[in-house]
Formats: sequence, C-alpha cells, structure tokens
Amino acid sequence: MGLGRQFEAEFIRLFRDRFAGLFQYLARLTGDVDTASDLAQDAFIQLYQRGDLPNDLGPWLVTVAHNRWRDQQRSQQRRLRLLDAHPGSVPAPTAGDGADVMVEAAERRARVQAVLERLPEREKQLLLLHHSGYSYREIALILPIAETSVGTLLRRAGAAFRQAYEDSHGTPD
Amino acid sequence: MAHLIDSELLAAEHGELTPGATAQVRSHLERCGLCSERFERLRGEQRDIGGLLDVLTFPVPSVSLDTIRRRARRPRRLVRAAAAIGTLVALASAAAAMPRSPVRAWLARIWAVAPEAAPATPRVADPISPTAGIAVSASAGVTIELLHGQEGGLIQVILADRPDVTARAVGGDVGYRVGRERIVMDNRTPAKQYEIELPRRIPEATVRVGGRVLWRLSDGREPFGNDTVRISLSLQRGRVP
Repeated sequence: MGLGRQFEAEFIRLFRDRFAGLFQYLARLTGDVDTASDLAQDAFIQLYQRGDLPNDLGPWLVTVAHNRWRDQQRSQQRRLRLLDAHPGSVPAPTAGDGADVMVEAAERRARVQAVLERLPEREKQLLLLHHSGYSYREIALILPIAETSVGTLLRRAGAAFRQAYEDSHGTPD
Repeated sequence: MAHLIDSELLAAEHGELTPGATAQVRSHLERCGLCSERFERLRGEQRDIGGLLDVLTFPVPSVSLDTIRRRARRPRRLVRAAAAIGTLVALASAAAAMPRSPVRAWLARIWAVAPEAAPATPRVADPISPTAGIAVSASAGVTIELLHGQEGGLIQVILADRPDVTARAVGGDVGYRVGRERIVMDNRTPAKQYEIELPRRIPEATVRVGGRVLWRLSDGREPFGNDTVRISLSLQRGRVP
C-alpha cells in the first residue's frame, strides 16, 4: 500500500510544525520528557499509518496521545512521576546558567508540577491545553466538553491552580 | 446595565470572541468601571497562571522523520502476517467442520505427533552460568528491557563488529525472553552488571528498565566515545557519556 505523495509532503510539514508543540504539552502533562517524547512519536506514527489527515488534526493527535498515556498508566500501573520525586528527570538547564539559577529553575519546575498534579486530571489538561495554544473549539473536541463551557471551566481550573500554588508557596513572583 | 460574566471577559482576553462580540465587550468596558476593574483583575490572574506554567518548558528531543516512518511500517507487516495466519486458521476450521472432512483426521494426527516432532523451543532461557546471556538477530532495531527497576548496578552498552545483539547479566539470577527485535530480561533477582553488545550499524536501540526508557540510540546517534556507554542504574535516568 503506497502512501500518496501529497500525504507524504503534508505529513512532513505537519511533523515539523507540530511535533514540538505536542511534545511540550505532553511533557507538562506527564512530567516526564521521555514519556512525552514516546507519546508524541506514537501519535505521529499512528497518523502516518492512517495515511490521510483527520479533519481536526491538533485534537486528533492529542487524543491519540491521551489514549496511549492512559493505556500505559493502566497496563504498567505506573503513577505519574513528579519531577521533584526524581530530580534526575529534570532536563538539564542550558549551558551558561549559574549553578544557583539551575537549582532554582529546577525547584520552581518541581513546585509547579507538584501543584498541577493535585488538580483533577481534566482541569489539569484544560489548563495545559490552553496554555499550549489550543483554541476553545479544539479543547472542547479533545476533552470532550461543550465549547460554550470551556471558558467557565478554564476560569475554574485557573483559580484552583492559583489557589493551590498560593496555599503551598505563597503568591507567585 | 447588565454586567459581563467572567467567562465572557476571559473569552475576550483569550481572543475567542467573534469581532462583533469583541467590539461589544470593549464598548461595555469603556462604560462600566466595575467590569473594567474585574477585567483587569482577571488579566492579572491570567498573567500569573501563564507565568507559572511557562516554567514548564522543556528542550525538544531530536526525532527524525525516518525514525517515525520506520516505526510506522513495522506494525503493518505484523498486521498482514496476523491476517494471513488468521485466514489460514479460518480456512482450516471451515474445512474441518465439513461432514466427512479428512482435515479433522489430519489435524488430529498432527496434534498427536506435534509435541514429539517439534519440541517447543523454550522461550525463557535460564542462565546456565552466572554470565550466560542471549543473542538475537535484529537488523532494524532492538529493545532491551529489564522488567524491574533496581537501585544499583551498571549497564554497559558496547558497539561491536558482529551481526547480532547479545545481552547478558553478570551475576544475579536473570531470566531471558526474546521476541521480535526485543530481548526481555527478568531481573527480579537483579545482577550487578548487564552487558549489551550491539551491531555497529544498528539503526535504533532502546534500553528500558522497569517500564521506562533509560537510554536510546537512534539515527541522530548519541556519540559513542570509545564504542562503550556505561549507564548507572542508581541514577535511574542517567545518561553517562
């Protein structure tokens, strides 16, 4: 079965445009860069195997990755690993940062990730999807919820996140 | 004058309203001090939330398109093979179900002699010595998996001029299982050291420990200093050059 040239060209373009964004969202969601990389690759592999483009590509890719992530969690009984529980999984800061800055950045990441983990899964996904640039319509397709509810739920999730952060660490800088 | 609700203000801030609705909100905010104040507070909250989440920005891994294509093609071959086997089984079953079919007798005969004629190849090889190992042929790529995470120990990965992949545990009581492009090591009783030899030209190799990827070699190859990489299991995620 040969894949059309048009699809191939489109796939290359989409991979270049969207892989990084999908990976960032998944890294925030899972708190683990290796898992995020695997999930993002799996989503693109499934797209390639499909051989044509779905109508809503962004939501389609995220939904595939969500399903894989759920399967992984189920089958391996793994818990979400917080970055602060495994300091080794915090990505290395860029060269040139001072040691204090590196430690502070890692601690800050761990703090934010830990607060996110305390939110219900859907609120966490809602916040992270929006922060990763997905529109209300796309978020509604992914979660799935009514598009008219996205604003209200987002407001609630943002308030819960901010409150949880303040309870643990005080007002954000 | 009816005030705007939070979700309307938020949608305006997020650019989710139609141009007409945005103009209406803007016009209302110019006239209504209360809503204008709430809008500013909401924007401040959004900035705070965005600032916190911005902290979670990660370096994007380098993944080549070829890797995606190659991995995408593999399962299709498996599906085709499974479909072919399924068709054969279905045909054999249909033939056996026919009245006075000789197929039933053939199947019974095969069933009766099969265990003697073709003893099953043991899938799990118990190590015959503390340094016993296992080898598989894997030209497209390989995953070596240690089923259980362990606190200490070392995995040594060596690039070698040989056609097959070998894996062995030094010490411990480790069981082995092989699959298609896969070696699974049951390290419930862990070894202190594991040695993996990879063909120099292998395009892709992954080492997983306790369900997580510990190390990966792909087309965008990590440099092999002197053809050997040592991975400390106490670091769990360490990539030691």
